[in-house]
Amino acid sequence: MIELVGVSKSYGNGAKKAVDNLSLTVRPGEIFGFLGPNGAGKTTTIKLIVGLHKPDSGSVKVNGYDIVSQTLQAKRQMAFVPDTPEVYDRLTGLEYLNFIGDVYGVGPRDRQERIERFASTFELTHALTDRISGYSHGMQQKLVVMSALLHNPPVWILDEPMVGLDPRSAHNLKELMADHTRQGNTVFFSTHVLEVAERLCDRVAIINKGRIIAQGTMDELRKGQSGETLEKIFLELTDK
Amino acid sequence: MRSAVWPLLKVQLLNSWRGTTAKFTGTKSRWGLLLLPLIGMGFIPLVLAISMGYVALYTVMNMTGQGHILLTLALTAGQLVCLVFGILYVISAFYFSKDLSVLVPLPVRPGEIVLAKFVGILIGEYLSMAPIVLPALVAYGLMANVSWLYIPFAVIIYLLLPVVPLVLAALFSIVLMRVTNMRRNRDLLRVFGGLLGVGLALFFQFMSRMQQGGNSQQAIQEMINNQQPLIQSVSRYVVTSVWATNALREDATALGFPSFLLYTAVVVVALLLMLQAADRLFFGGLLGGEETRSSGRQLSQSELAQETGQVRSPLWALFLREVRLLNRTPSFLMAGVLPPILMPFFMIFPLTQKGGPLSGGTDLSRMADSPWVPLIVLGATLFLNTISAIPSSAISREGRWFWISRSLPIPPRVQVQAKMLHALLFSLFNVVIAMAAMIFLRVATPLNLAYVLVGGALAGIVSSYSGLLVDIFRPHLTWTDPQQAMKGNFNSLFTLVVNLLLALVTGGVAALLYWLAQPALMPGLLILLAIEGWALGKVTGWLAEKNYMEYEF
Repeated sequence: MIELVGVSKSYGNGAKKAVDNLSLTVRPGEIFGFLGPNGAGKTTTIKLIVGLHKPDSGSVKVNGYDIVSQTLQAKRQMAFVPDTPEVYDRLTGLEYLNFIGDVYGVGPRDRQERIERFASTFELTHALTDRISGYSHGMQQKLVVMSALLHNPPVWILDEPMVGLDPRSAHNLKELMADHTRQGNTVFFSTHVLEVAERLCDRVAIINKGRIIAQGTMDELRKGQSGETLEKIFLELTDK
Repeated sequence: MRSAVWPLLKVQLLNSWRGTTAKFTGTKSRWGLLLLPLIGMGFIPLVLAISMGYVALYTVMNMTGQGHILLTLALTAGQLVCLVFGILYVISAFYFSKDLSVLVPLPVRPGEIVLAKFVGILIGEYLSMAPIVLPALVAYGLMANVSWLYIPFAVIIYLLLPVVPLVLAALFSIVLMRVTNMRRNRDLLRVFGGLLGVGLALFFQFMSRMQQGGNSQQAIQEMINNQQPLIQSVSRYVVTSVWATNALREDATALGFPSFLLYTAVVVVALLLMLQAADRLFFGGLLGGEETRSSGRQLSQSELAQETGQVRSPLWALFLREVRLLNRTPSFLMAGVLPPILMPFFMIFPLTQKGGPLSGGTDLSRMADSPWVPLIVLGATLFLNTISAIPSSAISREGRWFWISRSLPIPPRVQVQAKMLHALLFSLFNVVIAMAAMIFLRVATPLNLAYVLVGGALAGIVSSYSGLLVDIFRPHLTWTDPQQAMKGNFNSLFTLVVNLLLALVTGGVAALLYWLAQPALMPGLLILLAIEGWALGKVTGWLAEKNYMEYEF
């Protein structure tokens, strides 16, 4: 579960308000899509949730733990896949996964089973012993997804996860996200691919200029709008 | 279609100028330019020393009517500097610069890209050569009876001087990169560059030993007599220096102009040759290194079980990460490891020379029982720890991967402890060097060795935490090249100041202990180092907890 209450964040000594009094709740077992134009505040919001940025005001809770005052407990509840999948390029893929496994205390049996399963899902088995510096963008993205799922996090946060993935891998990732929520976990992701959000998400929120301008299920969003598809609704709302 | 050289050149020159000023002044602000004259003043002692040497050389050589040898030697030395450093600059600019992915798809000839990059390097070379060549041109101009053509010829010759050696460097690099796959092995080039630097440093060390007689006329005469074959071969093989000398020398009115024309013609031909080579070979060498390779090795189930079967503690996992990342990044490893290894050599070597305190031999056994011996060795160990950039770049080295550390559910103070343990490993290596030096100097009594071992480990903890403290205050996380994380990072300089203060405090307490109760000197000092290490550890951990969340990048 993710709870944001009245969260604000500015850059440049308050000159630019990236997130403005934002409140949001994402429930367990839910896939939540976070949409918005470029520069709307999506990545900043995500960085506030995962603790990469500190909010100026408001509170962010992950599974009941406050990200500022109970940082470590909150971080144990989640995993993050950033928009640029940059990981230590001098390590091999397996060394990186073992590092994450050690830090999150993943036991040998779970570790082996999950690495084997995810490497097979993302066709990365042949590259596990290679240095990450030799990986393509997509391969790095898959490795970060694997590392995120290694400790089976109750809350999984992804920023533009489909970028750089081939169609099969993108399909597999969507399956994994759906599987993860079926186990009662929470998935929160930002995307520009509105069709994916429309098909995959239980609920979506649209952010523009740092504020949530709409949120709910697809049916709830359609109410009061002339558009039928998420694309039309999105264009209508962000044009205002 | 208009030539693309000018727009390319403009961008390269802007980039080169801004990069150079930012590097020298440490700021991107235009106000940083005001610092340039101040920085230039720092070179005055070096330029004065070189100038005095040139004046003495001219005076001696002029007795036999060979004053112009000064020009030949200085112009050759300048060209050699360009050639040696040029190879590294050229490979870096031609094959590894970030803008290549933008430049290559443009509708321009490879030769045009190479020419624009070449001019960018040329600007840097004028600065590198200046302390070597300019004093010679000025000294000769003032002391010899030269014609009015001397100044314009000297200016043009200086401007053209780096061209031929840089073209040679460029041709070598273009062919090398075309026929080998070195572009994939950038690390290998870095190691090569580092070793070249070490080689040059050692060479200058031996040269200074050779010239220990100073700048007296007798000493210079002796040196010239000894180096006659070298001077003759320079005159024979480095023809550009000879032609440039002929164009400039006082008694060359008839020979001067043709030599000048010959010199400029060679420069033009060299440039044309480079353009031809670039048009034919440049893209071949450049594009060959883009592909990524996969070993394709599939782990068997038992191998995977073995690889994943060990669960380490978070502290150990973080320590292992530090070890692997440093060991596998040559820029990190060389900047961190080379100075403490080389420094003892540079420190002890002059002491063993004629007139130095160790010139009579290295047997100091008569001093072995002095209470100051372990203290001095510990001071030297602390100094060696200080010149290693490993602790003061520990957070900076994470660069764009810092998001991983920040999202880990591990307290920052534990993360910093892992970095301290890693830095301590290198400090212990310095302790081993110090103990070996004690054995070499015959002052290694069991008690002295024990003091240095325990004290060295404690001093290692102190210096590791002080370096980390500085890096926590101002980490440099926005680098794009590992070299920037080390060389463009002034944290090692600040650490030097912090450690100097710590050494002053510790030394002051040691002197007090010596004065009050001499037998308590070393035990007291060890207790003090332990307290300093503990206190610094607490402060560093507290600051890490506070600052890890604050960095925004």
